[in-house]
Amino acid sequence: MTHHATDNETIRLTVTSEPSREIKTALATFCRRNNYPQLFTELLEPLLEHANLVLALATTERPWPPSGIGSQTIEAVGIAMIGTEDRAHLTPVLTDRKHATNIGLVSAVTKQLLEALSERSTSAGYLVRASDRAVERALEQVGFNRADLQSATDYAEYFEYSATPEQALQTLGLDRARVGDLLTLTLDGDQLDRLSTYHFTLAAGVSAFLSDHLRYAALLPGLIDLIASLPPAGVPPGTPGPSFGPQTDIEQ
Amino acid sequence: MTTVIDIYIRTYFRDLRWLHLSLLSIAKFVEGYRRIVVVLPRSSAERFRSEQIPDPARTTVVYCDDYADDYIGQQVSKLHADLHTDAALITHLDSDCVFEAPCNLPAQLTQDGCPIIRVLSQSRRRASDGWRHCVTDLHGRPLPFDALAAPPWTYSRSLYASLRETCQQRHHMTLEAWCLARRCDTVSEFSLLAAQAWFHHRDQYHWIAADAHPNWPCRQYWSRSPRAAHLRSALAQQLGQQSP
Repeated sequence: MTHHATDNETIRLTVTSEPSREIKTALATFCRRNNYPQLFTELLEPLLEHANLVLALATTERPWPPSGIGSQTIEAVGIAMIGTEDRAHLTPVLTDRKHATNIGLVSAVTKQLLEALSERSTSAGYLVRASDRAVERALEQVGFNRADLQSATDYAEYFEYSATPEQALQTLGLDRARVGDLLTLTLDGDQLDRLSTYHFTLAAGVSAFLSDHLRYAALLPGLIDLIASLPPAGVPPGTPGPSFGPQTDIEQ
Repeated sequence: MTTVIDIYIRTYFRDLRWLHLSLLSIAKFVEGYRRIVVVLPRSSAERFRSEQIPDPARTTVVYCDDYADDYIGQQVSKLHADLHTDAALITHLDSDCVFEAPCNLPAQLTQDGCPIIRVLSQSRRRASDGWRHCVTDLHGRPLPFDALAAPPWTYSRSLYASLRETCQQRHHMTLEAWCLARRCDTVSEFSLLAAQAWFHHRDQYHWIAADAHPNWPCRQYWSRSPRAAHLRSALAQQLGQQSP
């Protein structure tokens, strides 16, 4: 029996693209309690109005009544934004601080999210700071590879590391794992190592962004409104896009 | 020839420890039933372990649809219990119902082969309470008592289809749709079933006042209580088990 197993028994796992009012207010509370209220007010709330977000939610309910505003508590959330070409841009699973080491819960949320994405997206990826080798390696080990999508802040360049949802599920060992076994961490040592490295690295990578220190962000959440940045008719064929440094220059 | 009784328990992932205790108590104290039908939403399947069933030979696990609001959803499941068993009588228990003394179901829950419905003539629930008033909303008239006496609750299998038919005739919608359109504290599946029996099949049931019924063998706890873990631990000791 692990420390988190009993708490995990009470947690409901769901996936939705149309969160209810109860869930939206619970998300606002979750972000505020974990010291990143701006994530909700400046990104999630406006994006939920028009972007194609998929939320994998781990929630608990108020004992009574179990519905209505204030009845839901978010324990963890996995977020994907479906962009052009049905590519899913992932945000590392965010947990309430009491679940910071709850790998079972994070893994179950990841499984739910990737299974949902396998039906509606061609790939799933993270935006990783260029040459941040530890993060790159953690993702490469579970089947993610550098893709063509890139982004930039005033401080760094970011490249997408992506895999198909099915491939990610398989290399993380989540395709065969039962949710109940994940929540109780009834896993072999190798799989626990793999899932721990994956989650802890991603959580560390996104922490600077969440604390509003963009300059230090090793990883950006997949909440960049790429669709809004495209010209009205999309990117014309042959447009190279921005080039960043010698290794990404495209020959004209 | 004895009337076949199946025990029906609708549960979900959060109540699986309670379910285990309830099943242990049935194995220890209850006789006179054919099998136990345990119903779970499909989303709970991956969190359910076979060792949580103490008597697998007499237990059937069935999966049902998921509901956005499973508090109403579990009541909808129970209102369709006849679709999950062919028993003549269906005895309902919730996951947090635990037997604490021997109970022979035919002897205590039936008379001359007919189910006994135990009612409260002096209820602490007012007539306006949602669990009582749903009877008026569905059937158009109130019951002269509170149908929510202590568990278990037993009905003839024909009662379920009869209630669904009444809902369709009176409200032009399925009973499922009628329930799902209501707030969680304004539906009581057992009140609706008892009302159907009282208004349409009264002579097929025995009606007994259960206001003062000491030593009743089955007790319902509240699985959502903040003291749930403590309660389970005490019950497990009583049932001779390690704390679940």
